[in-house]
Amino acid sequence: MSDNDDDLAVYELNTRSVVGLVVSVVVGVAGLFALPALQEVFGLSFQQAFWPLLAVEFLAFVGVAVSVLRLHEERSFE
Amino acid sequence: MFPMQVAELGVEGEGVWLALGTVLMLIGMVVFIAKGWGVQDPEKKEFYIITILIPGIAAASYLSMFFGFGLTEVPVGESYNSFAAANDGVLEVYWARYADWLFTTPLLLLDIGLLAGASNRDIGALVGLDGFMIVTGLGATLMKDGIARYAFWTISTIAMVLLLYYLFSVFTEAAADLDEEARGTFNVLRNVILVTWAIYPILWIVGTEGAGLVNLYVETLLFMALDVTAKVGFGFILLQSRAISGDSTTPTPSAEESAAD
Repeated sequence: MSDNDDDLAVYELNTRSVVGLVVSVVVGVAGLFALPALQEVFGLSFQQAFWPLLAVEFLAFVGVAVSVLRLHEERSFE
Repeated sequence: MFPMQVAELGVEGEGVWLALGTVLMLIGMVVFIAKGWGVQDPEKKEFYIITILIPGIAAASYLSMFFGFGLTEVPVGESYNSFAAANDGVLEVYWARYADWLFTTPLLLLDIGLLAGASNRDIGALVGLDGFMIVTGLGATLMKDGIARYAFWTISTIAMVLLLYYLFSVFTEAAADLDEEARGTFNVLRNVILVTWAIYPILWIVGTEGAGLVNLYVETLLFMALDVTAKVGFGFILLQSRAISGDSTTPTPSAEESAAD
């Protein structure tokens, strides 16, 4: 990248990452309260409801991490 | 739908520490939001978002435990420890604590990894090891057989030792290229993780889920104090750093990269 390109480069908010971040956080927080409801609605035992929920929690972290790291995209004017 | 806590324990039992944990985490989150308000630098924003989310998720977890959503019972038999014996062979276990850790401890590692300028591969390896440590710790907590519980605790603790060693060696090496200010902040944060994380398995083994030397009231207080230190304390130190707070123009890695270009 030339010096001129550096001068013109700007960071643009990545809308998809913002949506991903919000969805991941909402899913992660909701998961902390969802277990009794999951057991009641689907008639699951604690273990049957818990491990999938835990996987969802970890996926929510992955969603947050990926979204944060891609939150800004560098744009340069040709 | 308030499963157990309010009806059976409420703020008269260990619920008081769960309520305090919720409040302290929320205060930490609000302070971090206020501190980061108006920050424009994209790299600094990453640190702020991650650091704000850590106590935010933890606050939700503490609230979940307070209202009983994050609580379950594990039948381990009356011979397991004195608390199981006094409760018909059943232990009360706060599973939401582990779900919180599975979410927030990788975020802490991401925070310190980004500060150190560690590679994505190294951060990913540490996060993988962290997930393994938490899940095997959960295995220790949810197993019904006493020997299996201690076996899983041992596996989880070995994973933690490896994790802390990896953090100490690889991340410290990555941080060697930082300027003095940022390296100093990294060293303090690394030490906070090394010390606080090492206490968790000790607390488990002496607490109600292990040998039962400490009751649930004291155990919950100690876990809360550890969580607040490891999350809110960590965030305060990171965001007070001049490399992140905005007193300097950009975090050091960016400055060095710019110089290299």
